[in-house]
Amino acid sequence: MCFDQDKMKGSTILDTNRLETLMSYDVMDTHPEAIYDEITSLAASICNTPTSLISLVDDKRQFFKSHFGLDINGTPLEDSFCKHVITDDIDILVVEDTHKDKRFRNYNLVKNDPNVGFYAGASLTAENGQRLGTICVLDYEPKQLNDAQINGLQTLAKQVVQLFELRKSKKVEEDQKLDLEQKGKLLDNIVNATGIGIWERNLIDDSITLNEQALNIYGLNKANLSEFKTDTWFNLIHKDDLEEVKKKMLACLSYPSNDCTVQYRMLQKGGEYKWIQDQGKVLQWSNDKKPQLMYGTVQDITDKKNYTAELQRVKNNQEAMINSTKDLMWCVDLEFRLITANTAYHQLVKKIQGKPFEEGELVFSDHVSMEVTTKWKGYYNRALTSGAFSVKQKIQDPQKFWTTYGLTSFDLLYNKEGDKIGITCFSKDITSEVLSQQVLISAKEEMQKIMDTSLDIICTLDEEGYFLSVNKACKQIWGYFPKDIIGTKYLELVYKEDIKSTEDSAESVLSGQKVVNFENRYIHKNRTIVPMLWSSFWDEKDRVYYCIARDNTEKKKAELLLKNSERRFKTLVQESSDIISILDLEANFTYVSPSSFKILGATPEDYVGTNAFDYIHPNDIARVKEKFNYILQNESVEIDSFRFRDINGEWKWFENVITNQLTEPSINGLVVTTRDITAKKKAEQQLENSERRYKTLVQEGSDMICIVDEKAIFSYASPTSTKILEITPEEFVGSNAFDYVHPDDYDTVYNEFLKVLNIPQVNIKPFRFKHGAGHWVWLETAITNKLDEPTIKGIVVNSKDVTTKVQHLNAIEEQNAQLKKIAWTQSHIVRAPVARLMGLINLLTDDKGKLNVEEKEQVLSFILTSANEIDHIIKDIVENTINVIDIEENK
Amino acid sequence: MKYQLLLIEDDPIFTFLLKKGIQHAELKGEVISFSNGKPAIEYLTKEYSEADNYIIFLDLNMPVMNGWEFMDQLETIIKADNCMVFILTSSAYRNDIERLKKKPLVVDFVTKPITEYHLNGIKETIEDKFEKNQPI
Repeated sequence: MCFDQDKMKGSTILDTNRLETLMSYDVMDTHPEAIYDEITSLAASICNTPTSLISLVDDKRQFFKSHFGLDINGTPLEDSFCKHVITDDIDILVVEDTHKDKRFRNYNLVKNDPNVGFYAGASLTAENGQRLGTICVLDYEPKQLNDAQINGLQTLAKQVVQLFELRKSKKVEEDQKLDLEQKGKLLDNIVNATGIGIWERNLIDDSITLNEQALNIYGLNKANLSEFKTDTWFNLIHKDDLEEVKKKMLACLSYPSNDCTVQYRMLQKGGEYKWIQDQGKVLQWSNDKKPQLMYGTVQDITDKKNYTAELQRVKNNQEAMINSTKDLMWCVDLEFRLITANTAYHQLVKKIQGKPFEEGELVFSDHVSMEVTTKWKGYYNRALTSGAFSVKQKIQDPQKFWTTYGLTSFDLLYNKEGDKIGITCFSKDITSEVLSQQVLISAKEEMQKIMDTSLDIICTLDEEGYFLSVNKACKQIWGYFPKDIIGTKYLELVYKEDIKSTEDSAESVLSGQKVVNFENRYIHKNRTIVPMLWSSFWDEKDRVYYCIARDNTEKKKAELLLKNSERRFKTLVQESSDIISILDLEANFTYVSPSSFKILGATPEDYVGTNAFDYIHPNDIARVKEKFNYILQNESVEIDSFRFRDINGEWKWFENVITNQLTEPSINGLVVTTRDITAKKKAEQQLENSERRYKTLVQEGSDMICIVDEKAIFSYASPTSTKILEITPEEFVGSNAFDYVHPDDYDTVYNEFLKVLNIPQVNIKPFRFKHGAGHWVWLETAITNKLDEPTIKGIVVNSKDVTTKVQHLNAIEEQNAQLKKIAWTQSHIVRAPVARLMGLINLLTDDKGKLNVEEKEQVLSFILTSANEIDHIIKDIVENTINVIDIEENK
Repeated sequence: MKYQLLLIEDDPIFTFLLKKGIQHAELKGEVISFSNGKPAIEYLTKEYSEADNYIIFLDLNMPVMNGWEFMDQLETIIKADNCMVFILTSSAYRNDIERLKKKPLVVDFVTKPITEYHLNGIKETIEDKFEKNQPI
């Protein structure tokens, strides 16, 4: 119940006005102070108790500002006696025996150490009536207080509150002082920030007082300020300014004066002058109107002064520039009267009419044609109506045969108020610009023409190899239009094998080398290869490759031809199997070419002087001699193959051509060209042998070899066809192979045949082919594409009769089918009666007396039926199996 | 709720065994047997009622109308809600019944001979379907 009471009364404890009042004293949690400790000690002695406290109660706890005889400086709220003074709103609370009081007997302080037995507290009541806590006395025994003691306690309570009030007002005073100090500092800061110096001049004793800024500005020391008299000041002032300063000073000191301002240069310690502005006023006059005290401010205006000087300098420079330029500048007012003009304009006008226009004069001259005046009036009017614009004039001087170009710009001139007051004009000679532009344009056109008509490719590439531009020639050479190529990478067009060398070349170009006659190959749009010849160069400034490329096809072809003919020539001379010799009419050698050694093993010297017929095979000699004799009547004679003996006595086969050069003085003999055809002869022999072998193979083999064209029409069939199919090669030739194929195999064979048109060889699985006698035979066939082989130009078909093999395979398959059937029978037919039997037996074993006699008989008859069925089936299976084996054996 | 147990089997011995088995396993419902698919279809066309539950034991190899033909027709007259089909096969060789597996009506395949053990399993399946999920 007491808990509830506390709770209800808690509102007084928590009252915000009370708490604010308490806080305003700023005494909670402060250190112990002697004055309060004296009061508690006094209270304890008045009431004759061992303990006295000044307790202040906030919303959570009580704080002991002073604690006499108890060594704690506060407790939580629930252990507080004093709070009852606040909650009960009473001035004094006396608990004579705490153990008998139900409010307190359970308090920690009562129950446990220090076992408080007595309590008396007087309210600390603030001026506004709020109770802050108590001054109280405690004892460990129950006790009583007399009225005097209670009064004493209450007086002390008032004393404590007064001390609090005093403390509070002292704090306010301190706060105000702090505030003032801060404001003062702020003012100082403001003065400092403005950088304005302040001075005070006492005219009676000629002394001056300066603030920090003023000292800085004048460049003076505080120490020797007492020696700074008015004359000292005057001595530091620049002589050009001194008079002015003195004059102003005098005016200011004459009664009555206003404040005055003066600007002057003052010498500084470093020897330089500083611009200073002083502004001052007499603050105090004597009765006889003499100035006594002056007060004023000082500012450093050096920067401002310098700036003004700079401004003037810039303005002068601009004027100089305007007057020194050759361009014309002038402005006119709204009536086209001259306001001002630069020197160039004045000079031009002077040249035209002998004297320049005066300011305010109309800017039209009688010395030019009316036409020109009208034109300029038109320009001025246009500027007035429609604002700024520029015109280009072409001026032809017929006397000088020279054309000049001018560009004149017009703009409106406004005054400060923004009213239109005239026109500014600016005219410059742009002849050289116009001319260079024209040259540039025509050069560009010419360049374009060259590029467009060039048969060579002219292109530019960027650093990464993308086409930036290319001329029309690329269509002719590469098959692409320029627009197809621009923006693509050149390497995409380069023939794969040349990419590496091309990249290397591009790299050397990039490193600054000029590359000419670089050869590579490009891929034309139609996938053909185009040999190219390049000259390229890298422009570091534009960062582009400039390239010219030529279609090298013709040259390459020519090169190839040259190479071939060179090779041929070389072959002819070095490797020649020809011997050239010269004979006289008796066939004695007078000359033999060195090739004799290679062919015959004997040097020319061995032959010269000997007779040619001595070396010829006896069987051939008659024929050769007969031919030789023809030469007397003919210019040239050919002698067919004959045998000629070499140094080892072996026979070489020769062919001769003899030309009659008896009348040719340089030769005077018969020139014989001899060709060694021994190898050819041997090859012929070999060919003959192999042909014979082949014929044997083809005619006697069990394979049939045919050649068909793309439409499978026979152009050749080997003689074996007669043996294998009883169809003669003559019958085959001209007929279509598919006419002989079994209809069931037709599609398969046809598909295989189509394949061979794209791949070199196809093996066709056995298929049925019509035999000459009308039945089918199985052929296993390999077909080979030899359409590109010039000697064949067809598809070679190699077939073998595999009928027997196929029949064997079929028999095996049939047997497999039979075996499958047996397996099926076993699983289905046999299993049915077995399953039945199993069911019936199951029924009997599991009977549990549920079957009646009739049913049992039925079961027995079922068992019998099923057993019989099994018997039949097994017989059938045995029979089936035997049949299968028979089939196998018959085959 | 009424149960009908339809036995479609051409072999009288299997029919006999099946009837006995059903008796022993104490499967609920009226047992009606047919010698092939045709009379069974005729019966269902005439008598089918959505209020009844049908348990069908179906042999596959039968004269006149075999098991596959029966299943094709059955699907047009009966719904899976109140019907369960158990296929009876005479062998464990199942290649020929592959396509029946996908039919929603077919619950299971039973290899002959059908035993009490099989039937107890079937009984449980039937009860699971028709009794457990039925609101009372």
